[in-house]
Formats: sequence, structure tokens, C-alpha cells
Amino acid sequence: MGADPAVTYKDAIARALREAMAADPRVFVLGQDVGKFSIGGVTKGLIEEFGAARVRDCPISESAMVGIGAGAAMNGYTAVIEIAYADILAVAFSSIVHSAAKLNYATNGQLRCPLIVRAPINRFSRHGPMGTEVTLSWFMNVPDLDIAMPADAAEAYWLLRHAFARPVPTIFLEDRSLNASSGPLGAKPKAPGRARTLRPGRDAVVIAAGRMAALARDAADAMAASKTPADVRVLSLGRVKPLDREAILEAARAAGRVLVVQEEPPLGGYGPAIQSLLDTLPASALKRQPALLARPETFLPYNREEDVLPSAETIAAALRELLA
Amino acid sequence: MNTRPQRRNDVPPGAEPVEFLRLMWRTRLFEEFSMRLKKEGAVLGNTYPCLGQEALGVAALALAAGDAVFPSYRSRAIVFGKGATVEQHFREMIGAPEAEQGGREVFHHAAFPGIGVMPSSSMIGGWAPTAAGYALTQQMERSGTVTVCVIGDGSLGAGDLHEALNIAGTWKLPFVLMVENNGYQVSAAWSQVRAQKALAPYVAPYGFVTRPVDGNNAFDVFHSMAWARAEALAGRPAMLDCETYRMGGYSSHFGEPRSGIEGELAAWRARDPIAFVEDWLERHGGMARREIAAVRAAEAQAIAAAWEKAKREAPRRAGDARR
Repeated sequence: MGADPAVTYKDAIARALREAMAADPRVFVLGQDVGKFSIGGVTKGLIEEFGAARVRDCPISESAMVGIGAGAAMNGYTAVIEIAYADILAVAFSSIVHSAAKLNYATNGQLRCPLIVRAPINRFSRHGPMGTEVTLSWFMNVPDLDIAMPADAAEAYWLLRHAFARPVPTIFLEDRSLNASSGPLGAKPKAPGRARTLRPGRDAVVIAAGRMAALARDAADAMAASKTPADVRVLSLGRVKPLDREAILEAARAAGRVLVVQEEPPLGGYGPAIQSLLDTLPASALKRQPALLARPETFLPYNREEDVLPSAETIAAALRELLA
Repeated sequence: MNTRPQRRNDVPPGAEPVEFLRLMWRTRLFEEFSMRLKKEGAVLGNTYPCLGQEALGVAALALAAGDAVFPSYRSRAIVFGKGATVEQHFREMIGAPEAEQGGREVFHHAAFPGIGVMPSSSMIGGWAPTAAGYALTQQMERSGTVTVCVIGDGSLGAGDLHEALNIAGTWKLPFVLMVENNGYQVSAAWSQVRAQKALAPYVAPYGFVTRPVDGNNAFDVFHSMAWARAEALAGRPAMLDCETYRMGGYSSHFGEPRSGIEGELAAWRARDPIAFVEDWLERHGGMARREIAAVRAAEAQAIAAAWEKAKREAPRRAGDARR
């Protein structure tokens, strides 16, 4: 095997998309400014390689873009829809839930809906309350809908590849603040879509997804190197839905102390879902009550949004409390 | 193109007026039969009958087998026209084990993808984007087929419809918008919910060729769909604004929500689409009244037999409908 060079998060997404288009002529891209001018950079070069019929600039019609993807799926095509940023999923919500996610169920499997909605989280773009939201929790209770929120380049690459093989739609929540982070892509996971240990550790486990998992790794690294070291495992969900219950329960039993971190308020999302899952363990299985670190119930200001979001420091502080 | 046409009573090429009549009677009798089943508690789902709008179904007879139809919830006639059977419908209504939807989706949204009848949606207008997406794949494949999206005129208020029409017009998709323009949105008359009754002023600017259609004249409907199909395949998405009237309630659960419509009902009863074709067959088609009446009788018998068969297939489920 040759070397496994580091690839940036953004290039990993672009590579997975390009490879899927090269492998299947029925994969195509819909979005605003995805053609000659690639606004996010991920689709750059695709129109030259695959032509304007498969890389389609759309009007500002996100609901119709998703609906078109669902209709195309009825004829065996897979649309990759780029939403400019995740907040805009709000105007496509009906199409995602009713037209796409329910298709397989309502037709009793006669029609499948492999459809990928790439919706970048605009973290630290300074777009304020309508331009920096996570949106994951909005979709948690929609059956037959996958949600991916990759923490690093390898997860981004393999989760996007895997999404093309799924019979249901995927909401792909890539985080733009991770775009420049890089790492090797590694070998194809034996079980794609499963949670992944970003960092081993015995004293406690942090369970998180996306940027929160990346920050948890930073926090755990810092704690390992501190004067009072702690050995903390980080379990990255990667694909949040379907939730990898088995991996979560295994990690919780092994460490005995669990901190769940999410970037959204605590009334929904994977945080409460994991907490209720851990409630099914016998009382003796855990050393401490699982903790949830979440953003307070507030929107995100354009100025100093970091003040209301979990950070490596607040994650470390929560871990110290859990380990005390 | 957009002037009000004369009634086109000549027989279009390929038209089989007796087939028109069979399809229209099948539709009307099925709607009446299923309303009765609902009233008796024999089925769970609500019905959205298309009484008075049966002629719209003959549009399907101007389509090719590979063409797709995304129906509205009141498009029973075109669904039958595409080849779905009464038996299939009864299986859906009672959630029989053999039902294509497996008893999951309500029968007025039943899809039969194998014959090109695609899913509808409870989100009004929400199937216009999916229909456009299907048409896009037909265009990419150069398949020589079209997608027909059927909506009621109340859908004009839905944002999804406008998003889809803008895209279909811009991309010149092989897309036909067929409007069941019965002038009502549940109880609200068209003038309460839009400024113009005809939809061409709204749809044409998106890049559509448009045609007003006498929706109670099966010949005009057939002619017009043949025209629309050819236009759409030539890169000109088309809209058929089919003027018609709902000769009955909105649904089994809402009943008749319109008030003060006695005059309208009388006027439209005089334009009954079935009587129109029966008269034509007697005057120009060389059929005796007795032969014409036999068409209705045969359809009625087939529907009753299909119901008995569906009940035999799933007797427990049918009998348990009141659970």
C-alpha cells in the first residue's frame, strides 16, 4: 500500500463527491452557484469534468431542489443537493420530510430515495442567528432519514461515500470551520456509518459529533498533557442517525463516566437521545450520572457566538467535574 | 393559442370514444361505490371523489406507456386511465396484504410506479417539484417520454408549485401541468384566493405554452393532452387549464362545504361529461341507446365483483375496518 497523505476536510468531501459522479452517470449535483463559480469550493471543477447537465445551477428554490431530488430518485437517480448553509434547510423542511424521507415507507418500498442534502454549518462565518445554526435536532425524529455530521476528513470522506449506498436520504452537516483541518483518509471502514473512537482513554468518554467531537479530542489531548493528567476517550458519532446504540453503550460501560457534548440547546438532538439510551443501563453499570454539555436555549449572535457554544475549555471543565 | 376554443367535438386521431365512456363510468361508479363503503364503515380511509370531473381521465389515453403521471388526490380518472385497476384500489382501501402500499399510504395517494402512476402528497403543490425531478431524468435520458403533474386550481397558492414551474420552464423539461380548475379550494371560491380564474396569466411567464381546455369535453381533453405532450417533448413545457366543476362534496369527512351553489350545480349538470359522450356516440358513433347503457352496466358489475374479490382476499381486515 502507498502512503496515506493528509487531505483537508473540504477536499475529502469534494473527492467523495467526484468519485461518486465518476462511478455512476446517474449522480448529479443541484445547488446555487455550484457550476462555473463554486461558492463553497466543494463542487469546483465538476462542471468541466461532468458537464452542465449533471452540475446544475438552480434558482433560489431549496424546497423544489429537494423535491426534484426525490422525483429523480423515483427514476433511479441520486441528486446531491448543496444548500448554501444549514439554516436554509428550514425552507426545504417539507420536501425533506414529506417528499423524500417518507417515499420508501409510503410506497411500501416500491420507490427508494437515495438523496444527499449537503448543508454546511456556517460556524464562525459571522452570519448571525439565521446563518450559523446546526439544525441537526430538527431532523432527529424523522424516521428513514440519515444524518451525518463528520468530525474530521476521514469521517467526511467515508460517510459521504456511504450515503450514496443508502436507500434513504442523508442530511450531510459538514462544518465549515473544519474545512482546513486535515488528516489521512485511512482504509474503508469495515462497518461504514458506525461511531468511531477518535482517541482512546480509560477514565471517561466524551460522546459527540462534528465540531464538538473535534473539540473534545483537543480537550482530551490537553488533559492528558496537563499536570494532573486524565485519560479520556472520545467517541465520534459521525453518522448521528441511525444512532450507533451499540457503540455508545459499549463505550459507556467501558469508561463508567460519560459526557455528551452538543452544539444545540438541550431539548432535542443526540444529547437527550443518548441520555435516555444510557438510562436503560443498570444503575451499577456507570460510576457517575451521565452529563450533558449543551448550548443554553438561545440563538447564536453574529458577534461572539463562541460565548454560548461549548469549547475545548468548557468541555475540559465538565470532564474535570465528572472525574472529581 | 390562449383564446377560448370552440368545443372540439370531432374525433381526435387515436381516440376511441367508447373507451372514453368506459373510463368515465368506471370512475364515477367507483367514486359512488367507495363513498358508500366509507359511509357504511367498510373502509377506513376518506374519499375525495372527482364526480363531474371524469372526462379529465381520458388525458391518460393520449399518453405513452413510459409517460409518468403525478396525480392530485382528486385524479381517480387519470389513475384508472393509466391502467390502475379497481381491484388495486380496493386492496389499498382495505389494507389487503397484496396492496402495493401495504396499507400504509391512504388510497387517494396510492402510487403504482410500474405503470407510471407516481406518488402524490398531502402537502398541496408538493408533488410539483417531484414531478419536475422525474421530468428532469426523462430529459437527461432523452427517453422521449413526459411527466404530467396534475393539480387542482387551489394549488396556485403553494410556493412549491411556483418554484417547480420556474425550474421546469427555465430548463425546458418534458413537463405537462394539468390543472383541474373547478374553481374552488375546499369551500372558498377562486375569487377569494386569487385574482384571475384562468391560470395561464400565472403560468405562461414561467416559460410554458398554455391552453384552455373544456374539462367536461373528453374530446377536447384528449386532443389537448396530445398537443401538450408533443409541445413538452419539443422543449416547450405545457399547461392545460381544464375548466370543470366538482359535482359533489369535497370529501367523505368534509361533505359539501360550498354554499349557494345551486345555480352552478344546475348549469354544470347540463354539461355532464358522460352524457356528452353518450350523446355523441348515439348521434355520430353508430351506437344504440341499449349498447350505450350496456357500457355502464358492465362497469358497475365489474366494480361490485372487484369488491367481493378484495373482501375475499382479506376478509378479516375488511371486516375490521371500524376498529
